Amino acid sequence: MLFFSELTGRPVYSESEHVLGVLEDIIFLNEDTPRVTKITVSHNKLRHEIPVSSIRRVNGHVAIVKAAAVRASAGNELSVKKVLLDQQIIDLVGNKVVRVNDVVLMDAPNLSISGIDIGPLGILRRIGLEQTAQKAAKLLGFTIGQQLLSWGDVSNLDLEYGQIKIKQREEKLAKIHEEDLADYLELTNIQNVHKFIGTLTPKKAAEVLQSLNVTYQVEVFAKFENNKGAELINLIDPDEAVDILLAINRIHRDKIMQLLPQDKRKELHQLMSLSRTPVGKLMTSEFCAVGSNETAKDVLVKIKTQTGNYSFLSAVYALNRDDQLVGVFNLHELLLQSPDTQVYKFMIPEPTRALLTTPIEVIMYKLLKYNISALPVVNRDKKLLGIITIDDVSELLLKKIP
Amino acid sequence: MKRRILIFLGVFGPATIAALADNDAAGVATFSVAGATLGYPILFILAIVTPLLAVTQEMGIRLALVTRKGLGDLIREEFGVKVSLLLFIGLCIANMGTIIVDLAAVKTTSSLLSIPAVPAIIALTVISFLFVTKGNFKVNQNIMLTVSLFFLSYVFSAVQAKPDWAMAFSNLFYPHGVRADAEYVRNYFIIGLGVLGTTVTPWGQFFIGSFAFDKKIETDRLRYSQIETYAGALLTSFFSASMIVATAATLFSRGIPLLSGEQAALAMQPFAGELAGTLFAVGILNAGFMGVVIVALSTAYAFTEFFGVAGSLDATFTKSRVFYLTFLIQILVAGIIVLLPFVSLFRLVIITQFANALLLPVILHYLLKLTSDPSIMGSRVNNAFQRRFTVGAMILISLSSVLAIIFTLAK
Repeated sequence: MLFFSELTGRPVYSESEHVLGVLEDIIFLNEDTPRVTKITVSHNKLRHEIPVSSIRRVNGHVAIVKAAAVRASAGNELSVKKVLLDQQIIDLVGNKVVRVNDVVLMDAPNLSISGIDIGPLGILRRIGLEQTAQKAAKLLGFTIGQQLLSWGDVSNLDLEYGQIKIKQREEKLAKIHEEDLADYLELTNIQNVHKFIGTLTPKKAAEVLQSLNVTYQVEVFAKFENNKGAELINLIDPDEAVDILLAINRIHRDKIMQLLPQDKRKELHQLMSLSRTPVGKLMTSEFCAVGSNETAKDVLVKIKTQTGNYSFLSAVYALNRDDQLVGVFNLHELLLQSPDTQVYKFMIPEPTRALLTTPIEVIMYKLLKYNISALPVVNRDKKLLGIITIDDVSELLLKKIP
Repeated sequence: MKRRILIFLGVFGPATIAALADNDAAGVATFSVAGATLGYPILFILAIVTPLLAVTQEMGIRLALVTRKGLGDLIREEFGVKVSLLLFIGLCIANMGTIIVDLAAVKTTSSLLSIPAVPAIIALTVISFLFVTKGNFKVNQNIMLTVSLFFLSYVFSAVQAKPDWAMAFSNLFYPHGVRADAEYVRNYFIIGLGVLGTTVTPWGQFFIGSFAFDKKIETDRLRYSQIETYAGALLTSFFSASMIVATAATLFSRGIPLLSGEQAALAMQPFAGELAGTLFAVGILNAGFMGVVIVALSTAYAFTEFFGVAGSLDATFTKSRVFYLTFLIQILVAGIIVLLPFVSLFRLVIITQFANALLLPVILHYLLKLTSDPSIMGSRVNNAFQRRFTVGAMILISLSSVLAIIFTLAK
């Protein structure tokens, strides 16, 4: 997670480490998922736009640019500085709610806008006093929470007419605190994903659905009517379909199964019986989990004190206040951070995960597909139960090789 | 014609109230001291300040009616959060000072009228708060306009003082008729800046736009609001001139020094009659109430604009909580400070004047920049005269602020 104010004014480097100028503005597409399309770089009062495709990395503070080619503007491209930053946010009936103090960006999978900072921390960050204020608050024994508004709550139709309108009445506005942030952003994406899938042809929709991770799949799927659900299940790869069917509740599952064609139903039943494979027995509890609002320094201390006797550690998992899994980061990413950076700022939100009911074949497939050495296992409430490492399944994998 | 008068009455209010509130208790004190210390020649400064008040207030109301936004909204959107935060902090300090000075004047004057001071301050706080939270926009505006009729008491006091009308009028055009020694010139500068500072104020620039916006005046009624702005500026200066004339005719002509403005009511009684003195005192109480309410409102309006929260006199307390709390807290803090015996009010007056004088050119700079930008104002941008006049005024204010500070320190 990045903030717009942390990127503006930062130097932008070319591939040959040459300073091209400083980042001044960000241009995005006004869509449900507002992808960033360009950045504006200014150098000696001259401005030029660089398409996001030629940016190699937007990591914390620096952007490294390959050969830059300028493209013409699309019709629905908007500038963060002009239409978002400092502008008034109103509710459905036109009441003033608050102003945009900062803009939240996500850099994975694509650089896009994920929310709006409406809290006092946003103002403090803009004037460069965020850290100081946090330290002062800590001394006085309280913390200043982030108050963020998810992009899913902003009506992007009105944005084109220069209004930032939220889709709720002011009284209902949920102000989110940082612990719940990752969770909330994920929720937004589910709404967006669901909306998006609804507009696609069934075949395309199935493709999109199976490319999501299991928790997404289940939550998005739960929003569909039974008919639509059965139609999608029929089109999805059988192993993914089993994953989804096992995660939704029994009544819902039975109803959908009845709506499926005969042979499909048979195939899925067979696969589901495989899920008796005890994931729980393969799972290890040797993992390291931290709060998403802890700092990099806290995490290092935790690793040193708690994981000394572990045989294996490659990733650290981030939990929110309710102990739900919200992010992951590897040790390399951790070492790159400055000691005071909080976990939620650099973790990868929405890690791939498995449920206790997930067939072991699916777990092996995921470990190999995503090229990761461990897969977190969560229960239905998204609480982290343990991890399955590539070591744990290596014997089973060997058996599969003829 | 009848229709036009009706339209005018429909838009009438914001500009007049904003202008008349310049004659708050602090203003009355300044004008009384000015008249008593310098005599009629200070009227010349007033004659210069009046068009400045008219031009700046007109820019403020034009900006609000064309953009449908307040000055705070536009500064935040066009110049960003840093400028907004600094200006808001500056405005808070300056307004806090003004409210304290107003309450202090109420305290002193109420004891002159043998009303106990502490209950008077508490009553004023409670009334102000009920007035703003309970009343809606229309009721509040009408009460403020009615209360403004009390300003006529100064005109009465001035007439009772039997001034030299020829001297008073001619001094509007050029200062003359006194022996201008070094001491006099120095006072002329310091008090002259006080006259300017109490007439053209930082809060006034914010208040007029916010209030006009809260009144929901349509853009095509701009013409009428502009006329009201000019008339309001003239009316305000007419009342200010009355105060100066009243004290100039009674105290300056007899060489009686006036240490604080509130003493004027008492000091002029022997020469202008008991009624004139009492009316003068009642006028100060009224001016104190106007000043406290309107200056505190302007901070509250500015806060809602800079930070985008809901705020309107028409909104209920629960809906505009931040707006009303900003209003209340200022008056409460000011009330407590005024009642503390060890706080030097004289020093507070000086600090307030400096804060206002420093802030004003900065705010005028942004006001001018916004109203000269065609992308904001369209065809209603400033004309060359408005631009040059305001730039000239900003330079003049900045220079005289520096001079006044030097003079005050050298004293």
